[in-house]
Amino acid sequence: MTFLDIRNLYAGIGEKEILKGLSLKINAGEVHAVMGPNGAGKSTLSNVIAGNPAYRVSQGDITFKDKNLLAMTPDMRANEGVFLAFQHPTELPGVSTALFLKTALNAKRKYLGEKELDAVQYMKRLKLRSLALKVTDEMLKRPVNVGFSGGEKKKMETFQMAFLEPDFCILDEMDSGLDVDSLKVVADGINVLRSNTRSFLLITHHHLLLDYIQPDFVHILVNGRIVKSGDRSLALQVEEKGYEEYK
Amino acid sequence: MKNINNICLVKKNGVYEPADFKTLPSVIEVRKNECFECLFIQTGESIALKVVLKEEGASCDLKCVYFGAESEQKSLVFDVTHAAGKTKSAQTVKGVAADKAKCAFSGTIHILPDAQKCEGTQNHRAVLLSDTAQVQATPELEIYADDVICSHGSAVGPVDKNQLFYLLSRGIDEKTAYQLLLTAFLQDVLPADYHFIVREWLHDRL
Ligand SMILES: Nc1ncnc2c1ncn2[C@@H]1O[C@H](COP(=O)(O)OP(=O)(O)OP(=O)(O)O)[C@@H](O)[C@H]1O
Ligand SMILES: [Mg+2]
Repeated sequence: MTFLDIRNLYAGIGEKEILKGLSLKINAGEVHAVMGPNGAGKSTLSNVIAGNPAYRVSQGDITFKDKNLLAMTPDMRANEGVFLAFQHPTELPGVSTALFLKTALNAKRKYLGEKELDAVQYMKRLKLRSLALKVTDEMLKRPVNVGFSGGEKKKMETFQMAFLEPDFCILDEMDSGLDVDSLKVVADGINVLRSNTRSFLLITHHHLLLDYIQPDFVHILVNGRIVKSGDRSLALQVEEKGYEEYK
Repeated sequence: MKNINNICLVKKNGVYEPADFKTLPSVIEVRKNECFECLFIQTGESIALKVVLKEEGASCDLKCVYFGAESEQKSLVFDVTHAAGKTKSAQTVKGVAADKAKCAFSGTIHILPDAQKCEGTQNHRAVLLSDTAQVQATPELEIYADDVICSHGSAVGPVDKNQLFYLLSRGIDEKTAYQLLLTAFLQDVLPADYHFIVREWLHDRL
């Protein structure tokens, strides 16, 4: 089944066009990696998929499981299964992580017509995912992302993702700011989620992440378009030679 | 819920207790070493409160959380007079304005000539939920003594778009997202028992 289908997408902020005719197709169960120079439009792509109203789409379309994604509000997209682990997670002072997670989980269950989890089921799920990602009780007590180091924020994003169990996961530079041990923990946390009914879009600058989480496809995004697609060897090639030949 | 009455709470023995605003004296006089503490939850009409710190060691702590929506026009007036030395006052006001509401806060700190070693603070912050909502804060400091500490501050702005999007991106609907953010914004003034007011007030909005 096709999960994400982006066709000839033009998008940007204000007058500035950032994505210029981008196409990308991701099927269920696949892991795709996107690499590209700074400013190429990688975070723009992830924000447009998630529905950030700061970005405008001027042309093209996106479907998710054959539904028109661009017609959906951001919360609908999330409840349909889209999750974005942000490159720069936002701090929410005064909003407790526990309340936030519970609200998000129940929103999705309500959307899908499922019953809310009771306290025991909820704690079980929280424990399972927090242990795997080495998220402590103390971290869960803090307001969302407040006072966390850069690496801890990334870990919390991955933890949220594991907890909410979305079908389509976008990870925007999940490896930046993580120390080697944390990178392994996070990569393991992502790998256990891999299944033939879930797909991933990994945005990264480093080949190392792709050693841990082996992608099925690697795409090079330059100047708002996918200029080359291939397998994992493409990542190595880029790391050696840079993006000069694609510019 | 635009016609709902204001809630007036006055602290007794360390606990806020509901009080009838109409039965409060028109000028509240605070005596030696006493402290008057109150909290208004202003969902309804305008409020004006006048406090005089009469004797040494008297203090007051005035708080208000106001809500304005639709075409409501309302004001909040806190007027504190330091009539004796070594008196202390604090005014903490937080507000939310939506639709075409016009809300005004005017806070006065009046320090009489012989009232030395006083301390008066005033803090106002408000969130605007629409481009057409208006909030105006007017601090008035009339200070006639020289050995005093006074401060005031005000900040008014929209809801942080990144914070809102972050919540939406996790599947939380807009109304609930606003509820979480506004409750977080108000929580240092609004006791947990009254957080439901944010939810009820938002119920008719957006
Ligand atoms: N709010 C904004 N206003 C103006 N330009 C913006 C804004 N946000 C992004 N841009 C520009 O859009 C371009 C693409 O940004 P984007 O964040 O998508 O890049 P990226 O590929 O994710 O880069 P990086 O690898 O550094 O994360 C950049 O040139 C950036 O400066
Ligand atoms: Mg980026």
